[in-house]
Amino acid sequence: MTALTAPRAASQLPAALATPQVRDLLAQCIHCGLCLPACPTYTVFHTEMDSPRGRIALVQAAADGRIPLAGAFQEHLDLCLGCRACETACPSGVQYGAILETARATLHEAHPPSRRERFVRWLGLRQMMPHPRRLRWLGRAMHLYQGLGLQALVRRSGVLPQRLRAMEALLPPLPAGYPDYRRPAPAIGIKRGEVAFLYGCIQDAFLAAVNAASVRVLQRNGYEVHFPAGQTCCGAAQLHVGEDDLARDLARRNVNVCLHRDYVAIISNAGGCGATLKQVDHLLADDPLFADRAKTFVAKLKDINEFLADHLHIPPTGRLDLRATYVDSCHLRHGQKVVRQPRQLLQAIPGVDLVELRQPDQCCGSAGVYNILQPDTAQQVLDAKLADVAGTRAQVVVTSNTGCQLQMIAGIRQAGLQAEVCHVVELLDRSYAQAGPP
Amino acid sequence: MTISTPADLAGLFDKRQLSLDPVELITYEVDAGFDRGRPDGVVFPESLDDVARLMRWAAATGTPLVARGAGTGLSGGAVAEHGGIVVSFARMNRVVEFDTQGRSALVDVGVVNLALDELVKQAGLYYPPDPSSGRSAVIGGNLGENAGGPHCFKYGVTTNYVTGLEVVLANGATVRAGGRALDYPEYDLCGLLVGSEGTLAIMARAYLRLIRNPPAVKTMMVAFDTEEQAGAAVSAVIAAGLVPATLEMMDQRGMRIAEAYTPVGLPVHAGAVLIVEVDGYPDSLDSQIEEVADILTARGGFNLRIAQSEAERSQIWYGRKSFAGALARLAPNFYLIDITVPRSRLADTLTAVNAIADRHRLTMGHVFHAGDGNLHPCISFNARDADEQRRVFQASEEIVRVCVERDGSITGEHGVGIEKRAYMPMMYSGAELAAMTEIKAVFDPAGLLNPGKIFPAELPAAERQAPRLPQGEIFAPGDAAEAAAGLAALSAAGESVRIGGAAAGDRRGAARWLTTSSLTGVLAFSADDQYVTVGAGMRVAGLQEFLAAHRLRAPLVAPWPEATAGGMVAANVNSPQRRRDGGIRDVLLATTVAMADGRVIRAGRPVVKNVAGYDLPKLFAGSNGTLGLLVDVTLRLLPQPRLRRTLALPAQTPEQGLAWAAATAPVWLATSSVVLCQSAAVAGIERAPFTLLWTLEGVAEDVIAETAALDAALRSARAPSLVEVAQPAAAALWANFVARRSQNSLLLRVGVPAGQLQDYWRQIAGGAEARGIWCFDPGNSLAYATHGAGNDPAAAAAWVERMRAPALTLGGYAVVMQTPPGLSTQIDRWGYRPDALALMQALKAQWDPAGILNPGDSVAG
Repeated sequence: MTALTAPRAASQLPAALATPQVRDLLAQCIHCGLCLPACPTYTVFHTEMDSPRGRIALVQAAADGRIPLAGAFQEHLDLCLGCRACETACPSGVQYGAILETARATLHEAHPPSRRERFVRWLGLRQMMPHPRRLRWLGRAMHLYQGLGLQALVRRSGVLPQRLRAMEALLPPLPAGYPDYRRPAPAIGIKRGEVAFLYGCIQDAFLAAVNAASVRVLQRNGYEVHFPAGQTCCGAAQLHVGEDDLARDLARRNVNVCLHRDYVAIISNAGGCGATLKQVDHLLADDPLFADRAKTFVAKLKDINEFLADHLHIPPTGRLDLRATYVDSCHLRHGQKVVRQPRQLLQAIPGVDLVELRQPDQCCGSAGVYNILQPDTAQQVLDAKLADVAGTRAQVVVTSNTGCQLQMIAGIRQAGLQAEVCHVVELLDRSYAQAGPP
Repeated sequence: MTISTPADLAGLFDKRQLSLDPVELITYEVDAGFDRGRPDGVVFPESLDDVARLMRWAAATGTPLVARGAGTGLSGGAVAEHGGIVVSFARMNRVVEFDTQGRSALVDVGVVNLALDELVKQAGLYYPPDPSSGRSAVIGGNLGENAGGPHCFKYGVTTNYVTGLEVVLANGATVRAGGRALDYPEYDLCGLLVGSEGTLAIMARAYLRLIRNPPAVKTMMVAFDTEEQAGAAVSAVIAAGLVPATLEMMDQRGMRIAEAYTPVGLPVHAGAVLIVEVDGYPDSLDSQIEEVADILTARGGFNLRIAQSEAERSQIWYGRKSFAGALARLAPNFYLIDITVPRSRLADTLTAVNAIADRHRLTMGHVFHAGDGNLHPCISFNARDADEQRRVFQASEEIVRVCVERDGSITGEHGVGIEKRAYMPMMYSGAELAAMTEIKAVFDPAGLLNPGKIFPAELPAAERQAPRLPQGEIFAPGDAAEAAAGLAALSAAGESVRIGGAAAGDRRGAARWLTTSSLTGVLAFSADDQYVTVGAGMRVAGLQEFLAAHRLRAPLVAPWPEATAGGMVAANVNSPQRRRDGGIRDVLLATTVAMADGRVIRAGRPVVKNVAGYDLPKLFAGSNGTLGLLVDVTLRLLPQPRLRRTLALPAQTPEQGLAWAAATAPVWLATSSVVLCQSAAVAGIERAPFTLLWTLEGVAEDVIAETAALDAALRSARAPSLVEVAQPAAAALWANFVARRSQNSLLLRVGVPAGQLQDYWRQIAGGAEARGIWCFDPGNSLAYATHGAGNDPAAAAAWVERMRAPALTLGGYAVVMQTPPGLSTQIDRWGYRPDALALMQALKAQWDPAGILNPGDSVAG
């Protein structure tokens, strides 16, 4: 049990939480409770401390110096998926995401991670994610691991420690080779413009087929697809654990390489990455060299669903005849407010019978790296999602984000469901292929 | 309050079910209101047993318990002001039973309001109470506060849909009050508990009544220049005898706020808008809309717009229900006030309320349930400005006073909690408050359940009439004071009374006959507000005649010509019209009661929404005069239906008749009553052992559409075609039966769980010939029977037991309504032992310690 500390003197208050800006963000919450049913962790635990309203109350208490940052405060903030479904549900317009990020940054500052944790983060967030080529090598190694039957062995034996096991469980079947991003992919038919394509880090290494399909669909619609050299990870994972400086470095690199040419749009095909990339203007607001360019970057940044819904010049005509359900990416739905477009694209494909989930706005439990950090809770959230998915009797589960796609592939395998998991663009690509060359 | 050993709980509950961490407890400090208080722990029960175990522990350690649902209340009801343990029902969220045929459900109180409605809608049913918090709020909180919502204008509030409760009492005992059947022979503790804000018992499960979801609905918005104009238009719609499903109003400020969050095209440049919804069969909507629109435009309405799709309609309601939250986008703080006035006072109340806001220099918006007279003035302010905050609370007190002066309520649906307890003496006398706190003491002598809520610490003294012993064997008080003075003297003398409407009657062992014959006449009547207050001794026939002249009716059907309004209420005589009109418990808005100790209390107020304090009228309805003398009764009135039609079928056997009635049950919407009666001659149909009647009421198109729907349902059941008959209406056929059979014969009333009359009939032992003569009310799952065994006491008693046994097995009851003289002592009149009998006896002993009021006329004595 944690003891309540006496209110601290103002000088000792967690500085980042005690600013007037944060106070205003917190005051916006009138604790009406309309967020409760939207919150995946409340749905699992039914406890206030694991609800948006409760977490805001905790941040408020921390800002007031009523409670210590260690213990229950950190525990319950860590349990938040950060899906921001509460923002959509909130009539008062509380910016929960902003409150959460501030609180997490404060926690990061107050409790520097352990040496082991620091090593893991150094390895993952610094040495791997920002380096596409290293990730591809990891991908190739994992391909071998799967091909040589090691995976089956490891899974049976259960030798891996919990976090690694959680990561390993998410490995999708991996390809042998990777696409070549050194040269732009030409437009097919009339050229309507040039777009920059951000292939991402994990997406490129583990879901290369999604990127390949994205490129083909863009080409098919008349876009020459460029792959700005030097692009890197979006920085979402780094921000999530409070590594704001590293995230800013990555943002600068991406902004830099994408503004060399006058692209029609800068395209991301992962809901989570897109949500972070759309906020680099806030992230770099205090950087005199980058503030303006970051704004230009954000203005051009489009999720691929968003872009295609407005630029689907060539309708997909190949008939697919399948029952599909769409699993919203929280960062796409609640973060980017892109809800209608992926559905519209799916419905444009002849023969696709799109069945809505009962609760399409509920998170699948992937939530960035949440499923690796909080595997138990993530599993409960995933179970609810899978039950909903099973209820649709869909043959294809369609997503629009790397994390969701990996989580759904793993979940569906684990639940023994007979459904294929793919990205919206993969179905579009399949329909184009079905229709034959233009 | 200190708890010696909150850690004890760790031995009683799994750690998943418990939080004692002071940091975590911060998240349970507050609900959606202003008041705060940190509990010493939170327990998350997952079963009724968990709740009982916790209560026993609390009783043993003297620890307060505060029940909490989703914490969406606005009056501090779930705040642990005095510490103790919060009982969070969020995990007890199972729909235990859902019976589509019987249109009922048994739910754990943690079921979310909207989730329940969505579930039952899949089966074509509807759970109408729809508080704006319904997306999150759970049934338990709805029960505690007796929640309302926009659709309560037509359909009533939470209490009207609760037939029973499973509760844990302060001593840890688990009891059922009410149940699956209607009108149990007991004090209506279920009705009392709903709205008691967790102060009397911990509610764990509820038996809910559902209705058919109207097959079609249309929503329109009409703009007005001023709120006052819109208020007057609302009255005009109601005066025309129309019953829209909602009559919601927003003023300009309200619209702008709602529109900013959910743009639905509200007429933001107008002074006010009405959101009117009509429902019924698709055929009736256009004419209903047209008629409402004509009235509204004649009263200054303009810019009429009808929602074109279900999506648009739900968007309108989503925006409306998010109003309070949306307001927070504009102002740093706001205070939402909940008050009710009789509807006819709406326009002048708005003027007065706005004047108060102006005087205090406050910005106010209105978004409210105009049809119910339930206002929600919303003041925006900045809490960091101490002076402004002071003005807000000053204004709110003045606004509450304005309502009380108009015979309204200090709260229509949000509850008293902490927020409004200081205002209770403004609305209720010392005697009335004492009646409530006495109930509290009977239920929770140690004061462990939600302590400090509803009542202020200091209560005004309870005034009593000085005892004045009436002369002679007949006591005919002329007013409440005289009645109370007489009863006080009789209590002191230990002389009992038998109460009746007749000038004289059978005292059945009591010392005096107390007649209500001098308590007559219409005391208050408002056609606009659709209520009437009459002396208890006024005859129902005379009352209906009076009301008919105003195109209104009281929802009472009296079998006996001499029946009085007070007698019907006290005895809870419900006709088959109960299906549509509600029971007496649902239509009794208020009653003045002379108590045995010389107090006069006015229980309830003449408004349809009032959740200030305990719902006392529920206790007196059906108490058979054993808790106090009803001096007058205030009843909710209904418009005369536009069209009434009765359809008939001859049936050869009760089995056949009951099966046909059941076959039509899914259709019942305009059907106001269904009766299957033995040995009844109805002109126009062939004479048969049984006659089955359906009476339909409503706008013409609905009645016509439902006739076709009934016919189709009967065709599928291979029944003959329906025949329309001129008379009698179904309820009149029932009334004839009861009147005829209660003369010198034994009359039994049987109640079984909703939809189970056929099961009941199958389970009666013995041959058909020995069952007696029957009249069934399938719409309410009630039945009435008289036996043919003459006046042989042993045979009569055996018959009663034979008819009673299967009813009890099913969870119902069989009660003797009437016994011929001489038989009464041999027969067990009630044959029913409520779980909470001891509590009922304690209440009876509290209010009638000398036992002088109608001895033996209730199950509690």
